[in-house]
Amino acid sequence: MSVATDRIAVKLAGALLLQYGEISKEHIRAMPFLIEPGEAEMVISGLMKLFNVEVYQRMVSSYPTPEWEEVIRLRDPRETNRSF
Amino acid sequence: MGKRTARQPQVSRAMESASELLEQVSGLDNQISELEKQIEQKLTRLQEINDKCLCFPFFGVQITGSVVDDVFDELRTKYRECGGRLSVIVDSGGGDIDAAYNLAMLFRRYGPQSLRFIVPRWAKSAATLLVCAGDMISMTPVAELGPLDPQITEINPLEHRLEQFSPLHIESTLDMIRLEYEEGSEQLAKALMERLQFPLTLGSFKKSIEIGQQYLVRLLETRMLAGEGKQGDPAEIASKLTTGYANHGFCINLEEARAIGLQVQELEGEELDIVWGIYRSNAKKRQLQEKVKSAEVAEMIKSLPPELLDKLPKPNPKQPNVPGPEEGGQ
Repeated sequence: MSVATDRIAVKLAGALLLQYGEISKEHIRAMPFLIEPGEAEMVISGLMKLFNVEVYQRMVSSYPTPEWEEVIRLRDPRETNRSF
Repeated sequence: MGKRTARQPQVSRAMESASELLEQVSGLDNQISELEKQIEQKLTRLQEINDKCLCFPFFGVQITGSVVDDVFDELRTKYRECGGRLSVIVDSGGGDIDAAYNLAMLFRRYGPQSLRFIVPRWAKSAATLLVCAGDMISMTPVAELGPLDPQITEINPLEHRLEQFSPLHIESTLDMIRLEYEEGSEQLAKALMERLQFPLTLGSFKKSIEIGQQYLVRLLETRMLAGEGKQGDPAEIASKLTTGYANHGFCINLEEARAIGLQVQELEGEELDIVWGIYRSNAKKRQLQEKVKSAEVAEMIKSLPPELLDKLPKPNPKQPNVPGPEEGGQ
């Protein structure tokens, strides 16, 4: 992934995080312009460094098998706003 | 959404093709529903051929404290009448070792008479600890367990990126420095020493290996290797699994698991067909779900208010992979 695409991806993922308060790692991995699995991990790592976030597993389904997704959420939105 | 760059059209094209996926989403949903029905049928059949022993599918998840809560909810509601016998299909890369132990003890409560862990493909790291909690591990010919050395994630202070290492690497690093002092350049050895962590931190990392060992011995000696006639020493197995392999990703297949003393059986016949079928159907389902998410995330990005991008925190210029102020000129 080029540095420019890398930065755009982190920016967009960061904007989604601010807009919704959280974003699942699965959504980041599914970003249409990320091709290699390592690229998504770089974006996730970028978000973790840029924001005060926590990662948790959210159960999204129990049929036919229990299913979870990993969600990155802002730990304290007011604290993050202060750093703007 | 900021200045356009030469590379942005590449991103835009990818976004457009993802949006086109939206039109196919209902078709994808139908395919996902069909796969879910197949998985349900296979799970039912697996229970039938195992004398109605209930089966808990534990797929594709990092083991954490919140997962333990969710599994407890599931067991309390759907597995109350399991008659003391339980099978658990595990496909997991691992997770938190304390949560894995807690989960292991929870599954034991629902399978006091019989508890079997079935591994179609992966039960690595903390998931290996989990599957050692039962009476027996059933594995396909391609199933893998993995070493239990903890993985420590630290920020590399020079490159400002996250990196993982095992406490086992501390000893090999100290050996390397010792050798450099004795036979190489003292100056280089001193420079390496200066880059090492605070000694107390290094000591605590090394100590963390014992956590996995203690949990593993407790689990093995109270179930899989309890009683007379059981071969295999829990302490030896725990030592091998925590310090006996050079790489955290080492493939501990059926033969290796048996060789180190675990109670392992190979899945065969119809049971193998069913378990492998469930694993493959679940993998296909996840691929389709990823396409749906790709369309979803493209729509979420399109609906972002443009001014939001200006509110993003300013990056540390030393940190790569975060948006820089001059990204438009790249």
